[in-house]
Amino acid sequence: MTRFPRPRVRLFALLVGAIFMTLMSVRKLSPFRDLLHLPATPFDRGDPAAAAAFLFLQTAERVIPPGETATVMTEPRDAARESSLFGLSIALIPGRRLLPSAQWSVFTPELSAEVRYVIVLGPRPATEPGSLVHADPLGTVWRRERR
Amino acid sequence: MRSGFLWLLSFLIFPLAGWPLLGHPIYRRLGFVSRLMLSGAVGCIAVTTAMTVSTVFHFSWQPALLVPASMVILIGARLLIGLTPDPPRPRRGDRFRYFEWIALSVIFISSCAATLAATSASATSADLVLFWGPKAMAFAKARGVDAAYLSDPLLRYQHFSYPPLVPNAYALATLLAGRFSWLAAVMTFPLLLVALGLALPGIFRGWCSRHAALVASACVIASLALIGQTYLIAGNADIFLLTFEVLAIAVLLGTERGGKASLLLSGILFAGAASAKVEGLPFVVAAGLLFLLLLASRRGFRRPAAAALLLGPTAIVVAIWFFFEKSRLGVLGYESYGPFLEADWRSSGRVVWMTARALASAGVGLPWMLPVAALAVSVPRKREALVPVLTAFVLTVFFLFTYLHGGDPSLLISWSAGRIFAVISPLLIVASVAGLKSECPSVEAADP
Repeated sequence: MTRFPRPRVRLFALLVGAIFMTLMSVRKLSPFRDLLHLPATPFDRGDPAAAAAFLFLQTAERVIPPGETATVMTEPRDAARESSLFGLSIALIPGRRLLPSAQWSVFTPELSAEVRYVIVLGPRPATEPGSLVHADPLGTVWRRERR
Repeated sequence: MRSGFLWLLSFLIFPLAGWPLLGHPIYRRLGFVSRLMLSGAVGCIAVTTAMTVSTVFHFSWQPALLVPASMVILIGARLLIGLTPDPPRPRRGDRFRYFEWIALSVIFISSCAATLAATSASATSADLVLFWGPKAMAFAKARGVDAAYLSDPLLRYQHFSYPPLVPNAYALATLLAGRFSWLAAVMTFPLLLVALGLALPGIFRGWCSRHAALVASACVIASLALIGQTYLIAGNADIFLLTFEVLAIAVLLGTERGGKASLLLSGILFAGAASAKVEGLPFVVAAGLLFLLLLASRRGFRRPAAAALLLGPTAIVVAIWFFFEKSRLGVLGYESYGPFLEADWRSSGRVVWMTARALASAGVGLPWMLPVAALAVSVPRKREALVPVLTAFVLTVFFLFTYLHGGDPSLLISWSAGRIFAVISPLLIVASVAGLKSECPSVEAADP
């Protein structure tokens, strides 16, 4: 019986493992027809909720004038989600002073009360935070009157 | 779309910036493709360091000046190597055997899978939008590392103390392209993976047979592609860190007897790892010290001189960043989850269990289990293998230890363990081919 040198067995094991890992990578890919379309956001297939928020905040960026103050809320209110949306808004609405409506999963009303524009992700809130500037199925943007 | 392409194309200045060093004839033995990729890595490190230095000295970033300034620094580094006789060029090999064709196909298909995962937005890291991207945009707008932005108390979640290589690189691309591109930033994952796939065979070839070099490269790329897709690393700093770490350890093991060139190159790549992410620094300390202890004197180096070449560049880049922190932000060092020595030892069993569970989600842990099994099949009897194996061991213990801080670690482990432990897989793969030149009877002995 032929005896293979052990380093060769080691290399063979590595190559077989590499083939398996490659197959797993290919299996993880989205369906073929999805791969043919460029995504609208960096989260289209990985995190649909983040993708929706990304799209809506890009829209909000177009309706909020530069230099204004703004905050992002959700409907219904969710401190954990609003904390991460604050981070997303910093990335997607540059040139405005963004203040958090929640940080580290704790509401921060003392900060969000100061802003002129309120971005609400989700359905229209029962208590309107100002006058409506923009509405679409993903959310609404509101402008508060200056005090 | 156009600005996205421009954003990515701007990365082409890095190989140009790094060529003054990699153009040295001593590196010819690595082959042209590997030299070009290494030049990109070295250029990226030099340019982004020059960006931090210019902020320290209150100069605003001018891309037209940053690249020549980096080239001057690297010409200085080249002078350290001095004139050397031309090394033997890589011998043109025989025709590829089926074993090697399979390895090349694995590299190609894994790279394609990573590219498709990135272009279809299914591997994007949330950290890209939470801090790497916003920091880059702020830095590009300020034309410098923006101290006011980093000190904003509302933006503490953006980790002001994280080293600046990736935000600086993204900011430079933003300045050159005219705007930041999210999808282009996501493409850095496959871009660097492809660069690694092109660089590794030539580097491994310096110290193991051609088929071992190709198999090891294939295994590293397949492992990182799977890890990247599973733990969503596209767009964040992990692929930069992994690229520098893998290149550094591969170059280090190929250090020629008494030659400074590989040691200096590893030292610069170590500096890149330490400037890419906080986890880079323990890697540099572990791998650097283990090399000095186990291999330096065997390869004819005096330890202090070898330490200066290997760890000096890291000491310089870390000192520059800490100086910036101290002078502009009023803090020193990296953020932590509590006093370092106050670990909650009672949760150690839970931490190990949760980490193992987190790692199992990438192909039932195959990226880590495979090289462990390969090493168990036949333990390499070479000191070269000890450096990556012990580095992997030290890092594993260190990372587990860090999880013993800051209360309940379950959330932290679930979102970070796969990325943080990613480096262990290529380290063990490298170890499993270390020393194969003399062990494997079929290897061509005449190769450089």
